[in-house]
Amino acid sequence: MNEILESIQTAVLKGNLKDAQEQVERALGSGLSPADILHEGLISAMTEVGRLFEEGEYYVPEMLIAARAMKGGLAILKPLLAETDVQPLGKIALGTVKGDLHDIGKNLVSMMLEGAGFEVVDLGVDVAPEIFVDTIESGGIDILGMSALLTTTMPLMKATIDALVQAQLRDQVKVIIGGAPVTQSYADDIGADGYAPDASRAASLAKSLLS
Amino acid sequence: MSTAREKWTMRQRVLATLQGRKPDRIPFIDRIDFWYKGRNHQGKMPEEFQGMSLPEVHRAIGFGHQDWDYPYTIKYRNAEIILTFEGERIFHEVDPEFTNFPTLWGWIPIDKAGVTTTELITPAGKLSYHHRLLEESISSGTTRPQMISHPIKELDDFNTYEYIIEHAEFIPRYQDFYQREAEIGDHGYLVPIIERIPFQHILIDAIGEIETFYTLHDSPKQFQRLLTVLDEQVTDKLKKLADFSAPYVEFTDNLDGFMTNPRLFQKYVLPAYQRYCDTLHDQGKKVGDHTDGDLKNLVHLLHDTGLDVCESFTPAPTTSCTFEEVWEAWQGGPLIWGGIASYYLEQRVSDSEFLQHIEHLLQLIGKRPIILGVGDAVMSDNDLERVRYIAERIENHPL
Repeated sequence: MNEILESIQTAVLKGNLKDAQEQVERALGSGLSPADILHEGLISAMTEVGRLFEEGEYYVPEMLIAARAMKGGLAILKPLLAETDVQPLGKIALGTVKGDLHDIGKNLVSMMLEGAGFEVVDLGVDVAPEIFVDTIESGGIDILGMSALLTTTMPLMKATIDALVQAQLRDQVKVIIGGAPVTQSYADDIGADGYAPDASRAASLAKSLLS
Repeated sequence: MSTAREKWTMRQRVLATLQGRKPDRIPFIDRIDFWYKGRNHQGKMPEEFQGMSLPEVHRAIGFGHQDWDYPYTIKYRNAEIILTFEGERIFHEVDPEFTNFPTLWGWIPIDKAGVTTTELITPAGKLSYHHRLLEESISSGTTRPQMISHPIKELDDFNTYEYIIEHAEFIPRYQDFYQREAEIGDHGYLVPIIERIPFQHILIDAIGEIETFYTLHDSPKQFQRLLTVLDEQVTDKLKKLADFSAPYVEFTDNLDGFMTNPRLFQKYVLPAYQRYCDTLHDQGKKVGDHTDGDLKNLVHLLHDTGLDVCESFTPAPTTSCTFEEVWEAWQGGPLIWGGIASYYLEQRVSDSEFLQHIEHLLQLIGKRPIILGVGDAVMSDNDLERVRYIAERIENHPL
């Protein structure tokens, strides 16, 4: 492994934003391609963050500051990646369902998805089924992710899936769901394509659905 | 106390269980206020309960009425507060007196959907933050405005916040509490609540979860200073509660092991609980905590806190923590108050699955002490007949 890429990984794993950005600049200066820096430096580090999280070594704070460092490095790379036509793994629209203002889980999922190399369209909170449908209709979305923290708002996940079916868009997009009261069994019942219990597994799930 | 043949009141059952005595039946007591408000708002109150007050519904189904109240208020000296709802000023006071700063439940409107802005003006600077309430929250009965921005957003805000806390004056309202306690009556239990412990206060109210984690990493000194200021206030408040006559008090921490992970818990939470519980135990009070989050990561650590009760314990499938693992781990305490997930009261759960779950739970419990309740509260779409069934099942089986 290239020493500079290793430094990028270390900076991300430690959540050191400034160092991550400096190492990305150094990598670019040394002639490494933006794609290699992205995949072998930043995304690779976030994959390790996900593994550490799933093993209980990292918790949400470590995940957050790592994701922030990754994002800082990515911001430097983004214009260069656009020039070289490097494509994201996929495009995911995320939102907390109508009637629900909880956004922490959704935001963590968003960070881990970006860290895994996805482009994320964050629709925010209190998102009505028709907004999800319009977003899918506008095209380019591979996966729709919905979050709910209340048992009273979970039915809006089914309402959204039903609205996608009604709009004949269901086949165009994979649907994943999550949130404290949500279970795999509920995902199966409402016809979602997947359920993830946490942000790290949401990223793994998204990758598996597009592979 | 009742004679052996008379049935005990729900309050007697709760008190006996809290104090380590054996009640005649398992106390079954929790909240149905979300259900009640939601059904009324939706016009879906079952005929049997139409026109009944909340305590009357509790009594009709044999489910104890749990409620909460603060036995004190806090006067915030040298502070001016302005509340604005959707641009219209609704409250303005100098030296305001609250029970729950900065959440201000009871002051933020809960009958109309919209955004409330709170401004706090002090000689040490100004803070502002926002609550939002959705129409759906009103119709579902969960009328709790969500804090969508927090008082501390910048480093300068720490000073202002600390100023407010340092100029807070404790005002006992014990007589008001006793009066409310009497109003709740024997079929209920009014839980005297205390504000959150410092770490939870910062995490949930003052800064917000994600920003707290950034602050811990980026500005640990400011974080620690605020923690110390809050700790001094809580310590002082708890000492003053010596004059408050209550067998049980409860922190309102909404503890969740996903956010307050074991590392943070051991560093910031465990030592605080141990000290606070010592103070309250010296006053002869049992101590509980509102632990309605996912406790999976904290099961073994909670055992060491000194807490006597984990109230609102919500098991799987609503959280990842099973009743069985907690039951096994907490043989030496803390006592569970809760233990049933509202999931089992939903229509999507078949009658046979519900009945099987309740029988399994009651067999597991046997004669061991517990205060049974619906950990995450009975929701507006829940089947109240199932709550009635549990109440009757317990009533027909003396301990």
